[in-house]
Amino acid sequence: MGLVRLEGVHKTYPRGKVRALDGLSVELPHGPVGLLGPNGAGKTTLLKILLGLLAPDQGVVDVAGHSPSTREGQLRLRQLVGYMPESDCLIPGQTGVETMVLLARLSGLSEKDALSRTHEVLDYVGLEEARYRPVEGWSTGMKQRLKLAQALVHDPELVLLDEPTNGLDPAGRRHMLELVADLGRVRKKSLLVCTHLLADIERTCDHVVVLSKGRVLSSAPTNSMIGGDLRRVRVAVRGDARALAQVLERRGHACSSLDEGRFEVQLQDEDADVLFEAARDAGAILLAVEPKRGSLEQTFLDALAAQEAGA
Amino acid sequence: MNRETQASPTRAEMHGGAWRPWSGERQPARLRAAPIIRAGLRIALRKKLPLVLLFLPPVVATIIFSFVVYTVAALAQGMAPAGLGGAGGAMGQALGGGGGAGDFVKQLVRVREMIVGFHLSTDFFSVLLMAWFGAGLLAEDRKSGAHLLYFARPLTRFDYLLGKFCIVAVFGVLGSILPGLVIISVAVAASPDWSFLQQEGSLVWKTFLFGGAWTLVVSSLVLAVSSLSTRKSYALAGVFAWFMFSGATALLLSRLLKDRDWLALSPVQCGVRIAEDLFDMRLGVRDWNTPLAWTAWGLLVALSWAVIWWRTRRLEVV
Repeated sequence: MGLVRLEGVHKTYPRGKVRALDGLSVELPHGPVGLLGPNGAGKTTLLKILLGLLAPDQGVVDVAGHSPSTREGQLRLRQLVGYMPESDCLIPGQTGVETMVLLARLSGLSEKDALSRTHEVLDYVGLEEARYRPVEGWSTGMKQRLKLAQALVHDPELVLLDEPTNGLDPAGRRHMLELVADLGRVRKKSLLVCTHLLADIERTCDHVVVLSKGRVLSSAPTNSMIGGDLRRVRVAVRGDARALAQVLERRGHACSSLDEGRFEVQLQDEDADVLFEAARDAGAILLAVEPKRGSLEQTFLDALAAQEAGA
Repeated sequence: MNRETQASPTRAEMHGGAWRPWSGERQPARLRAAPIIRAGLRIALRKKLPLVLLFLPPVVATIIFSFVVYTVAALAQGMAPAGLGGAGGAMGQALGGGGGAGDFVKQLVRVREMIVGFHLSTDFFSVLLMAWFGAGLLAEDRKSGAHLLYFARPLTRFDYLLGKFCIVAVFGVLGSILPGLVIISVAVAASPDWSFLQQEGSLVWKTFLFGGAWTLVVSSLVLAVSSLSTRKSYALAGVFAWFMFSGATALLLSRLLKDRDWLALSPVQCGVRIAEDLFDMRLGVRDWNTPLAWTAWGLLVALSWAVIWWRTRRLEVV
């Protein structure tokens, strides 16, 4: 059974009557899960509903056996969930250590545990030096890592990360993605990574949920989404590439030219031997044959297009 | 909650940090306001200049009043500190010591009047203290988005607000109750055989009652304005605007309509009214309607907490 289960969840914001979630139903497995969607898809609304920061208008929400719909459920599940907000939300006037200790204490850790855990987690996210400086003077990357650290300080069952690479430079982004990948894939923590950056999901998550207009467009393992079509291959040729393409065309395999010596072939099945036979017949040498890998971006765009067509 | 512990921590790639699962036990949700109070006071005490500027006047006033009270108490016993030139000296005369031992009971009453006057004068400083250190508490959380961090924890709104209230109240107590208690202690120590405590002992609980009520009123108002503001500076301006506008309106209406009950619109005037009644002072023409003043304070507190509750609900449910 999944860690998070939602059934028929509706949420409409009264101001502007924006329908953020429209009968959303999904079950999220353990491990790192990406929540993907364009701006306004309802990702942040979903995270806030999972924390009990927002109440759904309708539907069933279950997080690790607790429902955020009740006060008691909210308090229980907030012990089990860590949340890294998207916005710059650190407490002004405090140092990194003070922020962490305060939030650890509020999560139920004792004074001693809060302090030791603070230093452990700050070490983990790479904030060794700055921890005793007020957070106002920190860089965006450091603030993002502190936000991640505070979400981890009580070692929660589920960590909700809202746009973890928001505003980061390439080095900071890489560092953050490595941390998230380490947590999810090495430490086996359950993460829900909410982003509109497809590359971040590909690098960090084992499962992807695509949201659009408050609905789930698809929910599947990342590999199955980016696995691609094994019958579509890219070929690099030494010799007469045009002659090889003509041979393949005659045998019923559609070809499309990319540039000199390279082209794509749509095979009729997944058996690539036909390529070698055709190359021999055309007097060409195959330098490389690789299946054209699908991308999460293509899957995402296809899902959006399908939704638009359905609408 | 016990967790499975990992035998050896391993490293993330870009840094030397090691991830260690936590194997401790979470404490039940008790006194969750305490860490907020500690953190808030730590932040407030970090900036030294406002502390010096805001605490200096009440400290100086406390020292001066303590000295005056000590002198009056000494004069009541027919003695005067040598530095004043004795009971017959200029200062001794000014303090009513010129007639020798003087009327002891009358002097005690004078001490009491001084303490009440001191209360009313230090209340101004306590407003400054509470406004400065309290104006940003909710406004800054809203501005920075820190409420998302607080309410993503198992923290109730009650705990959150209790924490914030206690931070403001500490400064209220330091500004309005503690100085009064210091002066009462001086008067008790200076009076023979604890006579001040025997004669005017009720001043102690009255000081607690008045200072506590004043702290409650001002703290609630400061937090309410803070919850409506997006910046500390706006909240500060709002608090002072409230005091000035309500004071001016109360005076204007009471004079135009020739009805002193309109003074109840001003929390400061209510304070004067309540202090005079509570400390049994009858100076000048004071035909106060004291229950009305208490009611006005009560309504102000109720209104403030209604606003705070409503606004923090919007903080909690984003």
